[in-house]
Amino acid sequence: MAKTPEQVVAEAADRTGRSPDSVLRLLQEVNREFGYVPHEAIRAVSRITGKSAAHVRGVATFYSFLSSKPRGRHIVRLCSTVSCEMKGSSEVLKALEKELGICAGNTTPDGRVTLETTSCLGLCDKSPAMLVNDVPYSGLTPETACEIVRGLR
Amino acid sequence: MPFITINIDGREHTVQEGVTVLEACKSAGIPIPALCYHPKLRLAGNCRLCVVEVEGWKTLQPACVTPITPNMVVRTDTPRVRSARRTIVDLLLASHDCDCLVCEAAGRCELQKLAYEYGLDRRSRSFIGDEDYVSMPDESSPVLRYDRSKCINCTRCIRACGEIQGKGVIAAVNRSRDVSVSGGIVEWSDSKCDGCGECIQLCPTGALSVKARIGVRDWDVRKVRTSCAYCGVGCQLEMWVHEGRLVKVDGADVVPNYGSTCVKGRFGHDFVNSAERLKTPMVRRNGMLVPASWDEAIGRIASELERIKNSHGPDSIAGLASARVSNEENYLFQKMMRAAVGTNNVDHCARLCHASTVAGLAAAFGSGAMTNSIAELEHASCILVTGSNTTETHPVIGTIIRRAVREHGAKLIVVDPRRIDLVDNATLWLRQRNGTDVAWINGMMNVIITENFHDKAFIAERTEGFDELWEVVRQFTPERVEEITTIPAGLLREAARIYATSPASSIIYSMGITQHVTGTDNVLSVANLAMITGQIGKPSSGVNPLRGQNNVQGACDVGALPNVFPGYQKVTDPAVLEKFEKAWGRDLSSRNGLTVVEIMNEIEKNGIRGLVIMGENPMVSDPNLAHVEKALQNVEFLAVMDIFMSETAAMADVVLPAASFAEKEGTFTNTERRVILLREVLPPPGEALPDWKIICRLSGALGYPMNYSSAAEIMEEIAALTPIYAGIRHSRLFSEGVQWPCPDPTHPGTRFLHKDRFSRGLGKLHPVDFIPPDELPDDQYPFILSTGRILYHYHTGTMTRRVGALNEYAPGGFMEIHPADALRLDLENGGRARVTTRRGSIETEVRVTGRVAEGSVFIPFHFVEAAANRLTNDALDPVAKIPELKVAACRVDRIGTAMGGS
Amino acid sequence: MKREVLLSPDQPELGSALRRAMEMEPADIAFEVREAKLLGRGGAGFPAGVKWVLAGGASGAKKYVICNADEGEPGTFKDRVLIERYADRLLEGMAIAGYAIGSDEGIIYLRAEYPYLVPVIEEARSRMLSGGLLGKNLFGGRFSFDVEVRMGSGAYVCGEETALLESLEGRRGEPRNKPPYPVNSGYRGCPTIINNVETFITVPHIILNGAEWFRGLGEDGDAGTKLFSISGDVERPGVYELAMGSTIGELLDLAGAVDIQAVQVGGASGRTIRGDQLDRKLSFRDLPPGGSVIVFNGSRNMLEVLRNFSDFFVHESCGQCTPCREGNRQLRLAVGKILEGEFCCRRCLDSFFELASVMKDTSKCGFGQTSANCFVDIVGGFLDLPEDCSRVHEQNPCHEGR
Ligand SMILES: Cc1cc2nc3c(=O)[nH]c(=O)nc-3n(C[C@H](O)[C@H](O)[C@H](O)COP(=O)(O)O)c2cc1C
Ligand code: SF4
Ligand code: FES
Repeated sequence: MAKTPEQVVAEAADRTGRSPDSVLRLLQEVNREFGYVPHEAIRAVSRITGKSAAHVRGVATFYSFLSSKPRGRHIVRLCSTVSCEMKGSSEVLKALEKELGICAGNTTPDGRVTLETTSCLGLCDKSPAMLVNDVPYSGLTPETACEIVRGLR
Repeated sequence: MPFITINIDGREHTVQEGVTVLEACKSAGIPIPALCYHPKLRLAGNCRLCVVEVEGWKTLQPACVTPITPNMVVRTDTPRVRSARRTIVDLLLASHDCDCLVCEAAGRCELQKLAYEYGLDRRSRSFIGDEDYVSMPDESSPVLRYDRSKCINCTRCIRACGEIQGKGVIAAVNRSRDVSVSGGIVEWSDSKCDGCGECIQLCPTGALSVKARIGVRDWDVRKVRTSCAYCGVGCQLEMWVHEGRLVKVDGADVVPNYGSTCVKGRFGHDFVNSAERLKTPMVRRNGMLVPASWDEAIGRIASELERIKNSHGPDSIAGLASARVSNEENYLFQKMMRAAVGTNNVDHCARLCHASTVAGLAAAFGSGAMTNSIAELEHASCILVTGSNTTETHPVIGTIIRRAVREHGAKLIVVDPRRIDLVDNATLWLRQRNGTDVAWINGMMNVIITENFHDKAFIAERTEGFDELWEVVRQFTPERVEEITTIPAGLLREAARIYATSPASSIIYSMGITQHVTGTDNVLSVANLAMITGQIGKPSSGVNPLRGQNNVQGACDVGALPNVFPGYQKVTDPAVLEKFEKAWGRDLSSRNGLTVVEIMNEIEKNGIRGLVIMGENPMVSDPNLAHVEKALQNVEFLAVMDIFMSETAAMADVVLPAASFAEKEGTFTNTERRVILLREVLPPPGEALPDWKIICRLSGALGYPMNYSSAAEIMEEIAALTPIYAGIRHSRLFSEGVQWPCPDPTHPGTRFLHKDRFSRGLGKLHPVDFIPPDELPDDQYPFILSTGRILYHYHTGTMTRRVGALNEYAPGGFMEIHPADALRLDLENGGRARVTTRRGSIETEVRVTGRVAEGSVFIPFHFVEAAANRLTNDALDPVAKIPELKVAACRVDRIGTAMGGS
Repeated sequence: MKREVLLSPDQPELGSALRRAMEMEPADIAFEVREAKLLGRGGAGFPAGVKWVLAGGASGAKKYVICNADEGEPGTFKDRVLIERYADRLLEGMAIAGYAIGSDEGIIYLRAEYPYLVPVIEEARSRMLSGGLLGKNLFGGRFSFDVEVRMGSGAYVCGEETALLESLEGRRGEPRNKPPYPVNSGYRGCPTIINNVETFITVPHIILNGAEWFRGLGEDGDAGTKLFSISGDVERPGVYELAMGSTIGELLDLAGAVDIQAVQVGGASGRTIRGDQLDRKLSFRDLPPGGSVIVFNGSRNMLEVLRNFSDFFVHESCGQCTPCREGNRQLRLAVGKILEGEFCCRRCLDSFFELASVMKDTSKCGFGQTSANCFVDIVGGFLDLPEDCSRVHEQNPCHEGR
């Protein structure tokens, strides 16, 4: 059975501790597990660390890798900063949007892929670049990018 | 602290070391604009308006967070500084919903003031109007509105919630231009915000405002300072009055609350404007209460009382004074009962809350009141809270306790059967079985003495009776105490050590200690604990009973008790009697009168035939209501003075309309013995009169004329007869009030008691053995019932239940029960249940929560439709005659479908 | 001038610098680093040795060594390359720092965009642990040191050192007021040094070769060598190591660039110079070299470039202080108006130039203090706007905002 946000938080807290210092790390674990931070997780983190729910939400909403909406199984983050843009990242983006049938910032209806643009990924020597979950891809063309995304199940 | 010299705007200034540039400028009289800075809050340095030039720094420096250094050169008024400040205000305006025409904050808005100062209007603004910020305000809270379009992200509200209130509910969410303040996850109402409104009080703009549109603004209103009508903290409030109506309440920035209030203080005074206020006297004719003239009503009371007195003697008449009306009124009331009627049968509901405190502390120390001041709590190093759900019953004191813990590192020990909110802040929580207080306190003393932490010098020099005490206490080993109380021996030891060894420990207690058949014993034990550790008679350290209602302390002080004249002077003492007989010009009774519960009992036995009640509602507040109801139905004659047609007034033969606290002059005495002033904020509605004027009329009709032209004049009489009030005059109370004892008009008042000597000389240690509660659970009634108060309501709800916002927070009665018990009984959260004791039965909503221990239920007593006091036990403490409201045996049964239908 | 130390194919034996350091007095190490005039490689250029001396002298129950691996400045990737290749040297540098200031705990704050570097660091760490270069009682002495990796979560501002501390403590990455400085009160209130990846990796070389050697590497008064991440319109983008004080032209020659319209040095918050200023120096005296160099050829619309950066700043500001939160927003709106042709002369933009200087002057942290740079440089240096367009103003007083 899939774990509930409460369980994920409780298990993570055994590793990170329960002090207010752990708020961000607990949220990171939740985000890793569910792809986003559900409200129940915010409540659970709030209970465990003794900080208010609003405080926990404040932390969650500060960081752009922590999402407050459900996302797909795979997260594709395409760099949209200048160096990549100069090397054609907007064409790659258009191709990906077409391939997935969604605009950036959204998730495919089947919940497979979320497509996002992001600030510089630190791969500008091999622009354009994207991060698929934890894996970097660079030197993209519209074709290679679509191929990579097509391979995501 | 040493001083150093710095140069500001070309002139040398000598300022205290360690201050910031902003503080230095302030003390030099140089204005620095600031929006995020607030003297009560830690520094944020966010708004950047306070920037100044500091020699040696490339960029401008924010004055609010920059510490001064020797020979620093500061410039506050250069073109560069002015341009920066102007630009910042301009930036704020560009993304601010400048709807000043309809904004509640107009006139006191700090951004508006700055815009005016810099002459920034729509036309002269440099920046691009940014419409993205406009959004719908969050109005989900019952009391407040948050409008992000007016928020300047100064974070004063967030800091106020965390640092002043110690709650930390609200926080900043999102990033960059989307930053806003949030109460909950989705909206304000899904949070623990309890509506104290500290955030509104500190918001510099209209971003946080009172939800109810008040329709008038700063400049339209008259603002009058007065004292809150709710609990014993005695918060000072600023009432906004417009065209004879109370429109808004702010906290006044003075002792004891310094601007803070609770939700009732700030949002709970609407009842004053209620259409249901009594406006004319009423007399019962043909079984119906009908309007009457004052003369008729007064005449009727006088003739009935005369008749009863003539045929059955003065002691067949009794009066209930009130912890909710002023000192002057209570004084006149007891004077009328004693001098005009001729009986000592006068008491009031303090009997139900702190009679055991008065008796116990008088026996131990010589006077029964909080030994310390509220403000001292903030600097106690250890606070032991027992039998007081402080954050709900005395919210502003609760706030100070939280602050002591969060901001000053105090250790907090909570001893309570319920998991009250303060447990969140506690170092230790000891959960005792209800009604076993003597046992755990003896246990703590056992540990302290065994481990040699007692203060031998203090015991030797300041107290008597230690050996006798030890004889009893030695038997209470932590292990034995664990058996009685269920408190683990290890925890008890730890608590004892912390309490005994902290530099300044303060005990806070309330009705959880007093409302027992062993109430006086409990209080004596608490006093013992403080004395053997020397934790009394010094700042921030002592024994602090929190008095429930606004004027419980004062009503007792001025003699609304059956055994004492004003100032706790015994009616049985011939010298005292003589003094009062001389002063009042009548022969007085030297027999102790009857107490509240005894009066009800005597009515049944026809011992009491006439009853006058001033501003009390025993039909909801007293134990064993069925019994009270019968008594009030049976009494030959009942007169009631009140502001509303309370449950009790509805049973009266004559009802007199009284002025509320906001409609009269007078004084209250708050729980820290501070005599505080009431001001006439509004005129009374209709023909209503202040109680003191009513009493004057009634007394006159009884043949004992009273002529006072003002409450101040009454206070002069009180002062002349009451040593602890001897120095008190209304004219001295305008700014901060005065704490008794105050022996003469030049005496500054007393911050804490028993400094070098106890009021009774030596402190008396009383050996106290453990006695179980009167009624214990058994097969038929397997649960322990305890009752109490909640934050949103007050007493019997005559006031708070007429306030919409408070009802929104807490619409009705409920019963808390542990999840395990709920499971066994098949009860669902939100469902309904019947609770039954040997005395009665009520139906109420179920709340399943771990706040209560297994085997216990808790019911608040405010709700007449589920009146907890139909269930409570009226067994009395033999000394103080306080009933055991905190422990009764009860049964719980599920009603109807589990879906919550009734 | 190309001068390879960090990237040199001959690297000293791993651990030799730590061993050497531990033969020295801790205070002497800090002093040596100070003498080397090693300026922090994360962008701000604060002398690393001074930080270490201060932290070494500060009192605290515990002290921390923190490596700033948040590398968020657009166009920067040198720290990624360094970690990919030399994670072990980084750990060694941190251990030396730990020894120097009396800390036994190091933390690497790694940006969320580099999750794939975690195994790289962990692998290096286990190698160091088994080689006795990390862990308890190194070289049989009393000094123990270990390093933990902690992840960011996608917030550029967390590269600012006090925001980084807030983030490590589990809160929103909002920069703190200073003082107190981290060397006195940093992570969890304890004395803490925070240095860039490159800074730490440079230290072992200084320990082995001496301060004087290091100073001698630089040109024109700046000490040592420096890594540059170069991208954009160049033939060979990548990381290059040059002597401090080299010129932009020298760097561009290595990377290969033609038809240069503009070069941005130091990332989005750095300076943007025109193609005719290639003799400017990569040094803290001239063009502070954060690490990023982006080259734009003649075909690029610099206003579009500016829009991209403005979006970045609006998105990444922490939002706590007024000039940065509202100022970046206003600059972005102004760029939009220029693109739409609505702001057509310098006079329309007067108040925005003033805003830019107020942001620099009053913002709480380096973010707001530098985020108007590219607006000033690009609008001021690349757009051909007339001084005034009084005719238009009569009808459409655009400079009045709303
Ligand atoms: C907005 C902002 C972002 C920063 N990002 C980084 C960064 O990603 N990496 C880094 O090493 N320093 C960054 N810094 C600089 C750090 O605040 C700090 O100066 C640096 O980590 C100190 O290390 P160093 O002295 O070794 O350079 C940033 C500063 C600011 C104001
Ligand atoms: S300058 Fe910007 S990033 Fe820095 S504190 Fe202010 S708002 Fe935050
Ligand atoms: S008052 Fe100093 S920054 Fe706001």
